[in-house]
Amino acid sequence: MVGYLIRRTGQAIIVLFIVTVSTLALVHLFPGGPVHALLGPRATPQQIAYYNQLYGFDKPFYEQYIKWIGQLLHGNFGFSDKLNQSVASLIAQDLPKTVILVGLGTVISLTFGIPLGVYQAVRRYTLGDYVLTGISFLGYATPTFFVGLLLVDWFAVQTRIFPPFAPQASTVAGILANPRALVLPVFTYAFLLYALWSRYMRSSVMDNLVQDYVRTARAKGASERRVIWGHVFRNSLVSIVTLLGLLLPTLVAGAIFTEVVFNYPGMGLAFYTAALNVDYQVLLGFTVLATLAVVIGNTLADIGYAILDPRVRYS
Amino acid sequence: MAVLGAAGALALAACSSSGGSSPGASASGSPPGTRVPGGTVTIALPPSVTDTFIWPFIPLDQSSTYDTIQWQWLMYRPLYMFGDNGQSVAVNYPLSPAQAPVYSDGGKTVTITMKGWKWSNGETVNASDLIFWLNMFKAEKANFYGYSPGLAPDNILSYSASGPNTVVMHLNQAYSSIWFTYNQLAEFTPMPMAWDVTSLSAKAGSGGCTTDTAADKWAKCVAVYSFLAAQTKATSSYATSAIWGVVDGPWKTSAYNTNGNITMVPNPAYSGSPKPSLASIKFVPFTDLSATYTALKTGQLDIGRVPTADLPQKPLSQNVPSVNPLGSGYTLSAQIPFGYSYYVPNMNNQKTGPMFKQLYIRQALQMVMDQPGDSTAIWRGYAVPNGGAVPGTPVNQWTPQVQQANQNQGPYPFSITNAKNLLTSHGWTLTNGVMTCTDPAKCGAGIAQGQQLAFTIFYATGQTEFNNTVANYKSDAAQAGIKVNITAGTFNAVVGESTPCKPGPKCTWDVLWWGSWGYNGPGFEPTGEPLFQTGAGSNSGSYSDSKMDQLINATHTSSSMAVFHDYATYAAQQLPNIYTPVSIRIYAVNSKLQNAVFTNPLYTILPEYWYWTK
Repeated sequence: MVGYLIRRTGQAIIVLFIVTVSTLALVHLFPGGPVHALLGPRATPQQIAYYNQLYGFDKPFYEQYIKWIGQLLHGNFGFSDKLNQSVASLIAQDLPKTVILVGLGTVISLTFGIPLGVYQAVRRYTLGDYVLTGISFLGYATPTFFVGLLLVDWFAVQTRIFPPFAPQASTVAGILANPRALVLPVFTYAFLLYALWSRYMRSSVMDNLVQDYVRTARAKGASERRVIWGHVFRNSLVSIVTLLGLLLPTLVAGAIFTEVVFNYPGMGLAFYTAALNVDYQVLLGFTVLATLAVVIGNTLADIGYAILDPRVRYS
Repeated sequence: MAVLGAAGALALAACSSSGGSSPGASASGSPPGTRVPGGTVTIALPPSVTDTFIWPFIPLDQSSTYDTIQWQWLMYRPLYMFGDNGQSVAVNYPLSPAQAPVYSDGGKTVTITMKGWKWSNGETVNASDLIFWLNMFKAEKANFYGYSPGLAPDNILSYSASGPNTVVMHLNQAYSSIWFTYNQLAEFTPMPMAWDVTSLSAKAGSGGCTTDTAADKWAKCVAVYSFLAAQTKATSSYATSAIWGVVDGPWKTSAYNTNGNITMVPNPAYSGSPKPSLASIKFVPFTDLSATYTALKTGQLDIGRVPTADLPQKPLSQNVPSVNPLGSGYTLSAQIPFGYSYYVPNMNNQKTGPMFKQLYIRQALQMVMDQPGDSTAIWRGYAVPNGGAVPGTPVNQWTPQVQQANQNQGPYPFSITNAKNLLTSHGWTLTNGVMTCTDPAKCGAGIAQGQQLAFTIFYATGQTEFNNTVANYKSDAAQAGIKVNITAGTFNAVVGESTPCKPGPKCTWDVLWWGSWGYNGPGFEPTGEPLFQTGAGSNSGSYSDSKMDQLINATHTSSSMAVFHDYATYAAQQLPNIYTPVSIRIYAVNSKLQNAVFTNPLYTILPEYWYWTK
């Protein structure tokens, strides 16, 4: 396992190198250069030259890259002139709020998705299975922003049960202090995930139900409850653990569509706004962080796989 | 002469200052009820806009109209305010902390007298505060968004306080009182001595910038700048800072977060009039207009912009639609930004530039721009024709008569027939549906026999109405035999190409079309020096004309409106840009909120005039 982790770390460094080089290169592909995009149509050539020098864009690419990586290694993700704030402080401010949204959405979706997935597998091809399958397909097929807009229309505009946008506080405490405003964004995010968990769980449980160990357990007189929850359930969770690991980047990158629809002040909204405003420092910082999250999430998923399934051994 | 100069600017102010009402309140608003003091007004910020820089000495990379006019101005009054609680685009002396400037010595000297207002910490807003700004400007001009080489502060030879409330400036030449007031003095903001420091605990004025000189290369001002610039980065302390809490405007920031949520409360020490009646105003950020509209529909907002797509068709003769989709809870009003819309032909493109340099071709290009049709059919009434580089609607003192001709289309109204005739009379023949030069002597210099009148427009996508306007232009141009290819890009991609280029292999774009230009800072007189003067930084198409240069320069030195109109007339006739319809924005204001105007063309907002009714 140690050797495996060392190899994965080496791969991660290569991935990070490729991503950082290509991300910084992409910034230079802004038409007219990143500074012109930042300053807008009123910028004169002299002003563009001044800010190119100020930001170091007049230096060779490799010098810019080395300087940037050096800053990153010291925890300096850059400074957003658009927001007048360091990217690190922006992350520190928005990441916990995204964790709240994604965390609550994940817990709620797992709470419903896993047991209902098991139910569908056990009662497959019954009316209940068909209804829940229909709901899951709806969750899969409907874009998140559309679900959000529908919920806003039904529950905010038509009935005014919930507010149309998320709490606007800058702290987690402030966000949690207004739970009514959290309901719609959390439910929107959870709906898609519910579809994911329930479908995976259903198919995973169905796969396991025909395995030899299930037949053996039943032959040994184990109750159906014990077969399902004692044997099949644990083995079926393997695929869910993998998916949970792959979900880690979402914690960092944010649930962009949900955050945009509900004006939720998290990482996704910050990334979206940065893209609109050509705030390249935020785009760079968030991309690096999201890449890290992907690498770590994949590694954690692999490790979780090994823990849950004794047949899996990494050498 | 001194009196004449000042009178010129005063006359302008009087000419367009009006109290007031917005251009078109709909009938759906409730009649005013009993005035109720206090209350909070919640205002939607425009999509993806956040106000992030509190210091009026704002650098270009952080400058924003909303930040300056709708936030900073509420706290820190510029030396001269512009706009009013209505539709005026003129200087507003009653709301400014200084008396009208007095020009003397033929326009080479300007004297400014402060009114002696008070800062919120008890200091007087006096001559030292203006000197502090001027010294900072001298020391750090490259870091101020409004700086242009050769203009302020370079054109101010010397300045000094001739009394506690009076500053005298000696200029490097005689200037127009209008131009100098509107485009130079307009950039200045007095700064309190509490800011002339290099640490939070330092005594007011101890930074020494106010008394600094060029002799030490403005070292003290540089140190103060470094300190204040660092303080601007401490955004989390904006609402509590001992520095930024010193204000002379009617409002101060009481809560701030970098998501864009800002709360402002009245400054009880405000010296001007009227005093705020509301208890607070709140700015809330939004990602797009549809979210703003939802918030309006659910009553979460008191003021917000309504997306055009959610509005019914509007007759061109009315400012707002007859039917208010938000019902009686809101009053609608229209904002026509103080600017103009256009596309830029590239005179330095080696292939198409020679064609664009011909006035008759630019005239034909203007004639196939169906401004009335686009405004009615594509913009559904939420745009107005504008035939020049000066804003024409609402009517203001700057608009020349020629621009108002043909229902504001200017001298070259939409006519495909006239465009065709103009081209054929200059040696072009319709061949296979495309105008082709068959008589180079008539076509003009640099246009070869057999050359087609064809070019590509690189335009900014993002708004359906805008995309359709471009597509319609292509179609109308084709009817006149002008072959237009259109290529779409993001706004930033199009703007990224807009730096003027020299003829050569890299100067390949034909036409850029991204939208509009606003005259609401830096500078409030709609002059042409940044746009049409030879070699100007924002002269994207590299237009060059010696008469245009002369006329622009004349607006800098003459205070006569006739001289300004000469320039504006020439700009309408010569078409350095091709003029396109100007879009109208519709805002909804809670019907119980009275006197609340959010549609000043300069974006000026004055919540101290607003009040709630029962």
